[in-house]
Amino acid sequence: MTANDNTAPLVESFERGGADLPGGWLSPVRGAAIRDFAEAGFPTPRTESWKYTNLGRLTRKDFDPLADVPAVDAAAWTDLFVDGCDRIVVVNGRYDAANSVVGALPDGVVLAPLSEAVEGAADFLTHIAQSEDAPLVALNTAFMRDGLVLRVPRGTVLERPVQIVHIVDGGGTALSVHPRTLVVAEEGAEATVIETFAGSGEAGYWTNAVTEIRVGANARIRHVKRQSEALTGFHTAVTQARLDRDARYGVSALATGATLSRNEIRVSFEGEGAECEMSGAALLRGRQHADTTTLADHRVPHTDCRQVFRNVADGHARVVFQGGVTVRQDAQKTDSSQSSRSLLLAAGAQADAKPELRIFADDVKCAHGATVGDLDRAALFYLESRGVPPAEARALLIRAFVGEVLETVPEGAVRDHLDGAIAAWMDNDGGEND
Amino acid sequence: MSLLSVKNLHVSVDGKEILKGIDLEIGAGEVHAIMGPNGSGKSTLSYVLSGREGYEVTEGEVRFGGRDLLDMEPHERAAAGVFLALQYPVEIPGVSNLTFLKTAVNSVRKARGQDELDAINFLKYAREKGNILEMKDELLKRPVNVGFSGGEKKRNEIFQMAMLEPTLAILDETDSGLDIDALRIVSDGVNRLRSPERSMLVITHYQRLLDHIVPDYVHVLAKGRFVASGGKELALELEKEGYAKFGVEDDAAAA
Repeated sequence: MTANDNTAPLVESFERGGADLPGGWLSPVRGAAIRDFAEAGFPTPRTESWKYTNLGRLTRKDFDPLADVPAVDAAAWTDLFVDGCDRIVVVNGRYDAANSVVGALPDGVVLAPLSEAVEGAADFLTHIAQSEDAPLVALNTAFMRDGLVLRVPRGTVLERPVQIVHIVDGGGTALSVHPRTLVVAEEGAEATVIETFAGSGEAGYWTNAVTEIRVGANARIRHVKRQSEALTGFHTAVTQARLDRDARYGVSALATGATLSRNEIRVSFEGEGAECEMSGAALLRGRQHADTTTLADHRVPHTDCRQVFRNVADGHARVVFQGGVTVRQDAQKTDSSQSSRSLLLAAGAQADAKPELRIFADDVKCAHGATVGDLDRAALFYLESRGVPPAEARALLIRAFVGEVLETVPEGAVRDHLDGAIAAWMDNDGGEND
Repeated sequence: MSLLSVKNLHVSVDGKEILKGIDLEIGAGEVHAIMGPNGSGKSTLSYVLSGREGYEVTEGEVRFGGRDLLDMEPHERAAAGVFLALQYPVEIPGVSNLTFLKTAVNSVRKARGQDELDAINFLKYAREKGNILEMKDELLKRPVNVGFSGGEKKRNEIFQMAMLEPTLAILDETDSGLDIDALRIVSDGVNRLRSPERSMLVITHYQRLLDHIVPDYVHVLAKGRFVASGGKELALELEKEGYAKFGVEDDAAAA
């Protein structure tokens, strides 16, 4: 691919300030990454996996990855903090110690901001997420400054969930942030990780996140993501998880924010008996665009994956689901299913669903189903005939529609965190619906 | 004054006239039965009274408690006291029966100027009303009508009626498909809800239901018009002689 002109400002930024970014051992890795990015350029719809999502609106703006902006008080965002968690807060791409809380931890656990833990993370950091054919991962590698490092040693169970909160508020500065999260659960370890993204700022901003997860043998990671970016924001993210033998990985992603977002979840099954539950929902209105792209990559025999995605689009919003399943030749006895349903609430809303199954083994079970529809009119009448006003009846049905996604999230504060985003979306009904 | 006053009601569906001039006066506390063969317009009447979309009133008027009923939205009719027990209750996956009922009850309470019930008082109220219909707790927790048997669905309808305390309850073929035990539970429930402040419009194909819910008046509907009206003895006459007496063919009722 030829270089894209719109990569030049980013390359120049890197040449100017890249040397000041944390992690001595990372320097050559960053250098290689920015070259990879410059060579590949931004993804375009000419690439099959970006068929439905055009980053033109994003690349036309110059979001500055190294801008120095005045500090913002994260205290205004405390309703995003999940009770009972150890919490790392990152504001405008930088660790915010004042709002972060880490309590007493079991021996050997590392729970720290990336900027402090990067030196000791060389064994896994950048090794889990592939940057080949992933220019935005490469760009993140070049500019990553902060985020979360969580390592849970063998046999250790973290009782409290760990939350990483990303807040961007550049005020009048068009900022880009490139946070990185690394989660390593060693054999038999267990942890719950919540990623929360939010922001504001009239100039707009761009969050380009990468999350690397290694789930060791017989280990369990429960991963929840809430994307509540401002409507002036752009959000692109890749989560890459690698699962060892008998590992359990559950990921649930909820998106209600950003003018344009892309959430890519890639799960690689590398040990027999590994299982993954992948779920997500996007609720959009106005002219929002959200793209969820998944890949369940079954590389060894006897691995299971269940994908459940529910999307809701109102106004002129567009919601995209590309569900990938790859079953390699050796991966006999794979059981991989996928269900995606989209609900269109207005004539101008659009949904695209593309299941992509590549199966090279012969003894496997792979099911997929995709539907697009509108609210059940008989159910609406039923509710209204019982006295429920139309707006509430709609809200109840929409909530039920996405409810299946929440069922996989642990009850209590963690589920409430996602529920809160859904409630906020419902409350904004009619606001910016054009 | 009548609670419900229907005058010369003409209703079309997709341009086809289904009701061709219905007149009906229901006073407070009265129970009226409408009998008629399939396709006579029974369900159309129940839907047009409850405000379902797709039913076009081309002529006539309906007043409820002195108000223009046809001018009201379905949820406003419910708040005003109209309740329709559906012939085919709708399944709503993902919404528990309790959530559904709590939303409904509090919506009508709010519209009626009453305080909304909190979770504890609502549950108490639901259990109390549920006992009348022999509703198991488990049915309250399940998604609305999902996986319910035919009898459970109809019981759930009458349960909702008990919760919403309407002044006009319309029962659309509530007896269809029920075995005798289920019919007894449902009609016992309905009878316990009879009161001088509550009128009922019982729509049925079969006379059997009227053995249990004894009406004050019976109307025979055929081809969009009432062809006979009378007391409860009219239902017995129909049972004995069939709809043919009224110039109507109907195998099911004659059998």
